[in-house]
Formats: sequence, structure tokens, C-alpha cells
Amino acid sequence: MKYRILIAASLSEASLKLLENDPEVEFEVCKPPLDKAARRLLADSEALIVSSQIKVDEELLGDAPHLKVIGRAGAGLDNIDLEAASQRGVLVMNVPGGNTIAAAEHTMALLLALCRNIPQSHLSLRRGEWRRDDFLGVQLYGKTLGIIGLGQVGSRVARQAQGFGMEVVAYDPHISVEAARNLRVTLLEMDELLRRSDFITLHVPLTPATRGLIGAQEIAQMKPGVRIVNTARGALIDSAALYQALTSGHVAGAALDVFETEPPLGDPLLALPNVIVTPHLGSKTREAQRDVSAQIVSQVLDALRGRDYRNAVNMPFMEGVSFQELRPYLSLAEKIGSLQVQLAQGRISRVEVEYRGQEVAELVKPLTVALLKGLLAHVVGQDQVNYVNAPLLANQRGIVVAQTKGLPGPDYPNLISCRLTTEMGERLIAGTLFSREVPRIVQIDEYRMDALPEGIMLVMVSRDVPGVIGQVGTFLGQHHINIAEWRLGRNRPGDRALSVINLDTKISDHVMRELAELPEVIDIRQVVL
Amino acid sequence: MAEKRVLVTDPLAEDGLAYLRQHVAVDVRLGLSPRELAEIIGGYEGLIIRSGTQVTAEVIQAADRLKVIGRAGTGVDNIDLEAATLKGIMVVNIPNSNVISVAEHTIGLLLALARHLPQADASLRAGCWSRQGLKGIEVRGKTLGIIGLGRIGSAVARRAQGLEMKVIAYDPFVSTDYAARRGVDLVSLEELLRRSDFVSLHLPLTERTRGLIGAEELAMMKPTAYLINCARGGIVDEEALCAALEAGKLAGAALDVFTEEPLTDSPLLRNERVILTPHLAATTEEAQQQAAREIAQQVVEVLEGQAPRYPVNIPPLSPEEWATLGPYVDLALQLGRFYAQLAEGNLTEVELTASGEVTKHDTTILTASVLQGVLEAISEEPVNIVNARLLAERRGLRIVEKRAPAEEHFASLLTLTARTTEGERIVTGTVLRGEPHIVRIDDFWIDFVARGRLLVSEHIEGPGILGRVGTLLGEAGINISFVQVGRRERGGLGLMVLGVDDPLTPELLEALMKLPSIRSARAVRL
Repeated sequence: MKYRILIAASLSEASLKLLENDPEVEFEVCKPPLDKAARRLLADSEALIVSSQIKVDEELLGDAPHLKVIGRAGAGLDNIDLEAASQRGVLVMNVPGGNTIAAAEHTMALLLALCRNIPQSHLSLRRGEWRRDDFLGVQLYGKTLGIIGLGQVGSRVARQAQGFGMEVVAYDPHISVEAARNLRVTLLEMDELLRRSDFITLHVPLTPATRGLIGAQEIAQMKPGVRIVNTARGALIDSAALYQALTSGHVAGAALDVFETEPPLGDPLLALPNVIVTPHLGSKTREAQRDVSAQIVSQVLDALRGRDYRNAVNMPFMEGVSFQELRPYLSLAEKIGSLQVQLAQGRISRVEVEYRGQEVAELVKPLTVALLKGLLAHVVGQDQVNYVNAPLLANQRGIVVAQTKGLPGPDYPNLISCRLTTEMGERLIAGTLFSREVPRIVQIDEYRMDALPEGIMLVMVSRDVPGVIGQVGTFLGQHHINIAEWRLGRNRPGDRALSVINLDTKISDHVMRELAELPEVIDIRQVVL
Repeated sequence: MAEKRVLVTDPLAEDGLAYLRQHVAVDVRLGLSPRELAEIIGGYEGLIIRSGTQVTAEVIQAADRLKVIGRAGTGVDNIDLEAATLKGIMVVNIPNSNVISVAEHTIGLLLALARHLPQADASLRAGCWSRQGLKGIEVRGKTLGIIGLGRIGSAVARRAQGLEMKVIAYDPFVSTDYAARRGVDLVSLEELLRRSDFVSLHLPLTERTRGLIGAEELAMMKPTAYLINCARGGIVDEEALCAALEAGKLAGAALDVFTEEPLTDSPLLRNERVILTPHLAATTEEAQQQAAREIAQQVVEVLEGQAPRYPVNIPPLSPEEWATLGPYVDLALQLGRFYAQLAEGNLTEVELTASGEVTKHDTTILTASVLQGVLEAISEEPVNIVNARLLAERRGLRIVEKRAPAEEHFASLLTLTARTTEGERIVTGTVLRGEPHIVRIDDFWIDFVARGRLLVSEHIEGPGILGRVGTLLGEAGINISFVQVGRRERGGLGLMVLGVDDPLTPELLEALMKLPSIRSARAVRL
């Protein structure tokens, strides 16, 4: 029998050749959007390779009863409904990091072009002008480059900038001081980085926490004459604030490859003479495309043949364990990791996981990986971490991971407890499965409870006095925020209580600030699982 | 003592002006023609310029009180150096101020080529979100070929290595050690052109480098390769470049310098594969500030009677010494230049042996002069007798100075022995009636005045050789002013030096090479 693969992505010639020469493979190439003919092909296909242009949702999956593997030729997973794929037992894999070099080099290209007015002077000269005095440049040598996000791309930009004799400083709450020292990069707090840098470049994923990371307030802290490069995601920068600073001259120039909305039609930034722009070309190189093509083709083939499942994003693979049984535990572990990182403050140095009970004790390895995956998704971006690279990424970031097995405790037959250590302190979160399928958080630090780890949640520490629930409940009601569940745990009566409140809608930043100011509230945090 | 007066005739960064105002009386007069400058220069002891002011012989004539001309930057093409030297006016510059700026601009252009930056910027500003034709290439793992591995070339290499590029270089006048310390492989020009994905030029415009990159060299490059020139226009044959780009023999080019500047009407302006900047490589705030600050200090120091830090034209000799050694300084320079134009392989050692009368004097200046002659051909920094030794040492060359007893037939002799990876070459000269003569090349004893245009060729001895060469030159309309032939034995290797009145084209040299018995043919200009 042959494997049938439908390709809805532009793959390199060499990769297609590889498929052509494989006697076990039959494939068809089609262009997005998928038309009727393509849908018919999909109905018989075991694998589908897609670009970011194809929306993989319930409906499409419904048309593909034989589908086993979806390969995303690239990193981003915004277009794929992972939950729906998992429900149907379809494996999804991507190619994270395939465009690291392309993105880092594009950043340096934009930085130099910005400093030396290359696009502007090129255009002027082509118009027949010779205006040398209008294009006085600035040097990189001896200047300070501030890198926000010292992951794969950020680290590479750091190395390249050092070749130019730049001093490199970085803000990254998720990387160890030692890992930064190995890169000869000084880690700073955000405000200090903003104050010290002559040039600032962004290399963080877009998450709820990083949206609008650079706003009017942050720009005001920057040195007058600073230059900004963004090849990461448009929504990291408040573009109205940037426009304002570019016209006032506080920011001397900006080079942008990404925009809040793409294409940035009518964006006033495009009309500024001190801005240079490219249409999201950061990952668009021949080499990146070639490597991504080759990798996704070989990953999909290996997965179809059951040899290897590297870069699987929605499933772990273990011999002898059925996925149906494993999945609820994986999901629980991932949620514990995600909850930990969202509640954490300061640099993470250590993750300890204790597994009590026979069922979880047999799954130590995949569950730890799942927990790390949940944790790191908020650090490097969901599309950059999977069940294979999560331990490696943790290691690169100087996070020590320890796991222990234990006998079942008195209360729960199976329990996963995770202690997270940061420079600011420790936090313990424990969870279990009820009836082997319903995830529950049963302990946060010294507070015992029974909370539902799902969707939008408030985690609140308050004084344990009468009226708190009424006060907070009324406040949320006034802001039209519906409460789905409210679970309370307390250490001892009259001291403190911890509430986990499940909500139907997200709370805006300013409402959160008001909540934090309520008299009995000690600490309150919003998380999304 | 009256306050010294300094005239500034090009825009100078504020730091420099402020320093000058503290020490001397300063006038700033911008945009003067040579005539206007000549009218007022008589009132000043110092003049500070950048590239805009033309200091012509007419200006120098009128500069009766002038002691020093300071160039806030590197190039001194706009100063009549000979006139200044004759009038005893010291010319000083800031030779290193542009190294970093040029290196950064070079990499800026390299990356702009790789990622189609100006094209992408223009397209998006015009409201187009298409990425059609804008897919770039990565530079990591690609090969950068640097022609000229001086300070700028080395600075470019370091930055390219930070981008994880493989760097190779062509520079016959650096040692392999020097290159190895920079992690750079030295190769021949042809190998560099054939292997490189990007080729960048970092050498001066001289007789030897004019048109260095012509049709033939471009044809050797990969069709996927890019050419970058931030050095001098004229090194690249622009017409041949346009033809190569249009024929798809080259992927693209980035040019900061042009044969004629300003560039106003050229097919280069309309070629989509070319990125152009108007001679901006050295134009940064930092380079200008550094140059302004340092030139102001240097000019003030010279006016206060201190020794200049970066003199361009004044030899460090007393007038008496100069009278005796002057002709030998010139001879040494010509020996160096002559060798540089015949050189093959990578230079590792320069040995200068002086014999006879001349050894009664300090001959270190002669060594400096030989090195100047050798390095002029390749160093992107202006080489002069003061900095030649330093530049040579920085390039890792071993320098040996020897003295030998007088030879029977000559009052004094200078012998340059250049050792390269390919072997050694010897050129000996003397001074006769005040003129430099070359009297020996390798094993051949000959005699000709070391001036003007020459054809130097090796052949297998036999009848009719000279006739064939003469006929070929005659057909090309080239007049021969003298002929010198040397040989070791009948039927063995012979050497021929012809004086010619007109330039020898590459085509003509190629035709010469095709003649039977001719082993090599080189054009040399002294």
C-alpha cells in the first residue's frame, strides 16, 4: 500500500523530488484555497502538508477520514485547530526554528540599513540626485544594542552584533544569568534596558503578556535618538505611540518587518522618512524554505512509517501506551506547567515534579515533557515548543528539571505536584484527575482546594474575612463579567484564603488594577489555560 | 607672538571647531572656489578641509604663510601634494577615521543585496504587500571574497565572520600568518572570483587596480554572486558590470563609488539588480566627529611646532641628508613599485640590501620607501614614507635590512629581494646622473631608466622574438622608446624590457602571450 500525501504548501523542488523517488508514496500538489478536486484528494489522503494559508478546522478534518498526519511547512500554528486534530487522533507537526537564521540576518540587515539610510539614499540616487549631506549615518561600533527576548533568534542577533563591536544587553525573564553570560550578554530589567540602549530589537513571541509590550510609557523611557527594529510580531509595539515618537524625533528611526495588521494598508508609519519597511520577509529566504521543506517532508514520512515523531505538537508517542489513556494526564501536566509560569515572578531556575500513584509514576518522562511544554509555551511561543524539544529548551535556558516518583498519598490515587523555584521564591501546584479524565488543581502552595484548570481564571489571595466573596463578586458583576466557578481554599480560618475563579470573559488591564486595589485583596492574577 | 590663524573651508563637526577656537583664531568660509580660496589663503597659517575643497597649485602658490593643511578624513586626492611639498607646506590627515564606517556600510550593502531591502521598502511604501521577487538568501555559510585585506578589509572580515560567513581574500602583500590570524584564507584573484558568493573591494585606485574588475573577471564570478564596491570608482569597469548583469552572469551589485561622481546619467541607475548609495560609506556622525576632533588637535600641534602624528608629505630628513639620499629614496620607491607590478604569490618577506656609498647614511628611510612602493598597489589607506613600515608590519611582512660591500661597477646599489609563497624575486637598481635605473631583474643584468610605461616579458631565447613583439606593438600603434634584452644562455630563458609610450591594453597583453616562445607579458607603470 502506498501513503497518499496531499501538499497544499509551496515546497522546494528538491523535496518534491524526494517524494517522487519514494516508491511508497503517492502525492498531489494543490494551491490554496482547497477546491472541490482538492477536497476529494484529501478524502483519500493519510497526510496533509500545509502552509499558513490553509485553515485546518473541524470542517476540513471532517472531510479527511483517513488523515493521520498534518505537517505544517513552517513554525506558526495559528491556522490549525490543534484540539480538533487531537480529538480525531490526527498528529500535527511543525518545523520550529527553521527560520532562525533568516530572521536574525534580516534584523541585522534592517539595523544597518536604518543606520545608513540605504533604502532612502538608493531611491534618491535613482531619482538622479546626489545628496550626500542628507544621509549622514551613525555607526554601530561601541553602541549598546538592547535585545528584548534572548531566545534562538535573539541570541543569534547578539552574536552578530558582537562582531560589529557592539555592547549587547538583553531583557528576558526566562533565561538564566549564566546562559546570558555564555553569550557575553548582560541581562537587565526592562526599564534599564530601555534607558541604556542606543538600538532596541524585539525577539519575543506574541502572547497575552507581550501584546503592546512597547507602548508610550516604554518609549518615553528610551534614550532620545534611539532606533528600533521589529522583525518579531507587529502587535508587540503600540504603533500609534511609535508614530508619535518618530514624528517628535524622540525615536530617530524604526525598521519594521511586521505590523499590527498585515498588510498594513494606509498605516501612517509607511509615509515617514525615518522608517524603513519590508513586507514580513524575515523568514523568506531560499535556505529557510529549502530547509523547512526538507524537514517537514522527512518528518511526515517518518511519522507515516511509525519511525519517529519529532516536532509533534499535539501528541507524545510512547510505545505500549494508548494515546486515549495518556491524553488526559498529558493535558493535566501541561496545564500545571502553564499555570505555574503564568503565576511566576522572576527568573525560573528549577522545576521539580513529583509523581505519586502507579498510573502517573509510569509516565514520568512524557508527563514532565508535557509540563515543560506548557510552561515554555509562554516563554518561547506556542509554535516554538513541542514534546521533543521542550527539555532541550529548558536546559538552554538554564532551568534545572528534577522528577521523583512516590507512593500514592491518602487523598488521591494519582497526583502530580510541581514545585517551581524562581529568584523571587517558590510555588507548589498539585493536580489530579477525577475519574481518570477530569483535571483538577487540588493544591496551590499551602491552600488545598478543588479547582477547574480551564479557560480564563483569576487566582486571588485575600484576607480570610467575611464579605470578600461578596465584594469581589459584586465588582465583577458591575463590570459585566460572569463567574462560572469559584473555588476557595484557606490555610487556617481567619488568616488568608486563595480563590480560583473561572470566568467567561477576559478582564481588561485597568479592571484588574482596580480589583487589586480592593481592600481585602492581597494579590490577584489573571491566567488563561 | 601673534595668534595663529586657521581657515576652515568645509563643514567641520562642532567638537573640532570648539577645540580650534580655544587655541587659534578660526575663520569658517564654506563653498570657496580655488580662485576665491587663493585670494584669502595668504592670511592663514593653517587650512582645514574635507573632500569638498580643491587645494590646487594656484592656491598653494598664494599660500605664503601656510604651514599646514589638515584633511579631516583620509583621502588627499583633492590636494596638490607635490606643490605643497615644494612650498614646504605639511599635509596631515586622519588615516583611520573611516575604517569602521566603511566596514559597516559594506556589510549593510551586502545584507541589503541578500534581502532586497531597498526594493522591498519601495514596494511596500507604494502600497504593495506582494513578496514576489523579494525572497532573499541567507549569508551564513556563504563565501565572502575580500580583495585587499588591509584595515578596512580586515574589519569587514571580522563582521562577516560574526555572520558565520566563510571569508577568503586576495592580497599579495600580506603574509599568510597575518591572514590566518584573521581566520581568512588567502587565494589567487581568479580563485576568489570563482569561489565567492559575495565579492567586496577594499583597495585603492591606482594604475594597477584601474579596471581590475572587467568583463573577464566578471565572467569568472558565479552567476549567483554579488559584487560590492565601497572602495573607489574606476576599479570596476561599469560598462562591463552592466553588461554582465543584463546577461545574467551576476546576481547583483551594490555600489557606493563610481568612475564619475556625482553619478547623474548611467545605465546603473536603471538596473533593478543594483543598489546604489552616493559615496556614503565613510559618512557617519562618529567618523566625522573623530576626524574633526583629531585634525583640529593635529593642526594646532603642528602650528605649535610639534611633530605631526599623521604626515602625508614630509619626509623625516634634514635638507642635507635629503640632498644625498633623495635620489635613492626615489629609486627605492620605484623598485618597490616595479616589484609590486610583477608580483606573484603571497609576499612574506621584503629584504633590502644597500651597498656602496649610500651605506654611509642611515638607510632605514630607503626600506620605508621600498615598502611604500610595494604597498601603494593594495593598501586602501594612503601609504607614505612615514607609515609604510608600520603598515607592512601590520600586514605580517618580515622586513630585513642588509648592508653589503661596494660593487665594482656601481657607486651604490639597492637590491630588493621579495620572498613569496611562490619563490623569490630580485630587483636591483642604482642612481645614474640623478635618475633611478634598474640594472638587474632576477638573474638578468640589464639597464633602463625606471620611469614611464614598460612592457616586461619573459621568453625562450631564439631568433625573431623581438621582431614578432615589435611587429605586434607596431600594429597596435604603440611606439617603443627603448629595448633591453637579457639572457642567461643561448636557447634558455630570456627577459625583455621595452619602454612604450602608450598604455598596453589587456587584449594586447593577451595577444603577446599567444606568441610562440613568450612565457609572460606584464605592463608596468613607474
